[in-house]
Amino acid sequence: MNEVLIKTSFKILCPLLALVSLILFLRGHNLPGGGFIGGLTLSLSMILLILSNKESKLESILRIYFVKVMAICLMGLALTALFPLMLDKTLFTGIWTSIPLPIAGKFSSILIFDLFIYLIVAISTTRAYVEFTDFSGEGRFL
Amino acid sequence: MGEYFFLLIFIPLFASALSLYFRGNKAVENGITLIFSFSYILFAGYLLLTSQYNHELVAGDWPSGIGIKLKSDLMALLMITVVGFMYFAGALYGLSKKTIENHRNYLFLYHSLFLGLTGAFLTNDLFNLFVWFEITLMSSYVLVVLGEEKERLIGGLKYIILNFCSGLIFLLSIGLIYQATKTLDFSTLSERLNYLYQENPAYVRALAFSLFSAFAIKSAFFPLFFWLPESYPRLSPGLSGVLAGLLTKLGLYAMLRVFGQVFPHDMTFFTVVLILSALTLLIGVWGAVIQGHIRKILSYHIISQVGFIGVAVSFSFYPDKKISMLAQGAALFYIIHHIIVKTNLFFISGLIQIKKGSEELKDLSGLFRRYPFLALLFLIPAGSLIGIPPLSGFWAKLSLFKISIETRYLWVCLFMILGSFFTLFSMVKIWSNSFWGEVEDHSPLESVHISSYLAIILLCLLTICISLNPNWLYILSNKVGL
Amino acid sequence: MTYVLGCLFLIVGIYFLLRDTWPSYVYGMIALGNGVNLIIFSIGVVKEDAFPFINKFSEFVDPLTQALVLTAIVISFATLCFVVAVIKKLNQLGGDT
Repeated sequence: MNEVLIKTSFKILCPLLALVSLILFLRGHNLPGGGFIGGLTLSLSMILLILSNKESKLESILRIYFVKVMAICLMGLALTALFPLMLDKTLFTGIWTSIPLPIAGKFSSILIFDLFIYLIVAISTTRAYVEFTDFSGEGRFL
Repeated sequence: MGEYFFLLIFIPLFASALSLYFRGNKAVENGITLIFSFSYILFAGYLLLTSQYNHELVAGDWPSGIGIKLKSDLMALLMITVVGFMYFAGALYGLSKKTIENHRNYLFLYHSLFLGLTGAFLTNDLFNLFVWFEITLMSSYVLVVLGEEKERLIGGLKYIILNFCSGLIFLLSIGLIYQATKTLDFSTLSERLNYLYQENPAYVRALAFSLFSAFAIKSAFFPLFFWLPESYPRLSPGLSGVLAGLLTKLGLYAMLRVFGQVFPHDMTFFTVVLILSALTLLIGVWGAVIQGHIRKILSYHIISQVGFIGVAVSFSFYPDKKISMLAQGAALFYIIHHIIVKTNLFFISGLIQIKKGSEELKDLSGLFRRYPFLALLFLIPAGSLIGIPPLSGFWAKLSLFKISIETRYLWVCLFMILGSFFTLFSMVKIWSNSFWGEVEDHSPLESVHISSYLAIILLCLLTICISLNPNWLYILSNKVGL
Repeated sequence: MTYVLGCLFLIVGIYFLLRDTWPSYVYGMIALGNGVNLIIFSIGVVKEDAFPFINKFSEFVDPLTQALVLTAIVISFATLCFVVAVIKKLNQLGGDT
């Protein structure tokens, strides 16, 4: 990608897409959106960043920390699902607090659960993209 | 304690997350695997032995019918306990580096395979059954293509695409069932389907057939079994044992659950499934007779055994209530016996491959002289698979014969006798070609880690326990239909 | 309308799967997955200005089919990604078809 126009427009689009994904993620509980869709949008933003900026360290960071982040997210998902048991409630029950949040309304355990999904989707989709466009055959995940 | 049965799902989940985190550190990974799989058996066995079943849970405090429902009934707990033994035995067998894929993601995928299996047994809702099925299959997809050989990748690609198609058929029939009944929960679905069946039997029959075709691909029924011998013999011994023991049986379990307990029992559907399973059991074993590679023979035996279990499963939706209950117990007994025996046979043939470097029958000879203990260990599951009297396969087949004689389906008996005979024939082929005969080459045998033997001995002991005291399991599995 | 479109997708998908080349497997899987999703989507009533959740402003449609479709999309997307990865690896190993 050497075209100046595309590169510049990507640079503007990146933060915008990240912002949109954040909004989608936060409004997810009551309106269309949520962890999965937000994560996909965020991964789009990350892919544009990798495309437009050859020097960005995102690709190498993804390669190194991908597995650890996925493991922590999986663990987090399981723990968030089990957390209501401590308060004598059923598995997966949403626990609402009264802390206000701009778009989501109130802070809740559902938001944490969504956050992990958001991270998993965003990171693994970007990782898949990096893998598919890498024809050198190095750094295989499989 | 019984209401905490859902922790069974979380044990493999935590194990997979932890082994992903400690990826590459073999000692820690193996420790995690052994501890978690052992606690899995302990917990499942505790719930089963203290008979703490029939607990329900609707996730997220939703009213029943809206939320995701999990239920631990006797059938699920029995299967989970057996699967737990496979979980532990597979982990034990895979402790040495030669027996499993030497790949850093292996254990993570191994745990997520068992995560999917546990969920599929505990779920009480058709759509969640699909999701858990897909989790199991997704991990098996990755496990099947872990490797560099081109043959294996192509075989794996066929496996993936075929199972993807069967998943889509499953999904489509779930959609059609939802359109017909507006529910997917097993208990409500059963009521509404029975109601619908009285009005329009052909409609329900069509729904049952479309769902059956999805399960039939997954469990390698007669016209659709070719993916199985393509993919299993190319895997490493530890992996192929676990997959061969569990994956096709998951499809059969789902059939038993859905058609035996949820769908109305229909004569036409019963007849078609019975004919298909009788054909499966004969054609699968014919495939075994012509092969000359130990694990290929065993793969074809899976198909013929799927036919045997299919006969039991099809009797579980025989219109007569008493017969269907008996058949549910018989099918469950057969599935449990078969999982243990088949995994064990694959493990043992894997040891032969490691020791001699080949599994072609023409390269092997005189193993009995050089290794009598291994031959003895092979004899127990092999005899059990054929159905030689004191061993567990005999009891499993006995109840099948009893049911088919009671319902006057004598041709099924004939098919089963022929199938058993050919099974005996191909087993004798393995035995006489590889264990008997003179010792031809005196090259030193590769040594194998002791843990692999421990896993095989554990499974042999399980088979012997079932053989010597079949009554306990028989009574327990006959309670399932009630 | 959605139903017919879904069936059309299914036909296209089966056609592609029957052609024995690796890219056509991918096209076939995409078409089949989307066809099944469209059919399930059409089973729940599709209406204009109706959301799959209860609100004050408009009537609502059956949310369950859309939940089914969402889950199915995630699963078929993941499988598709994986198949593409396997095909890429096969190409790297070299070979025909």
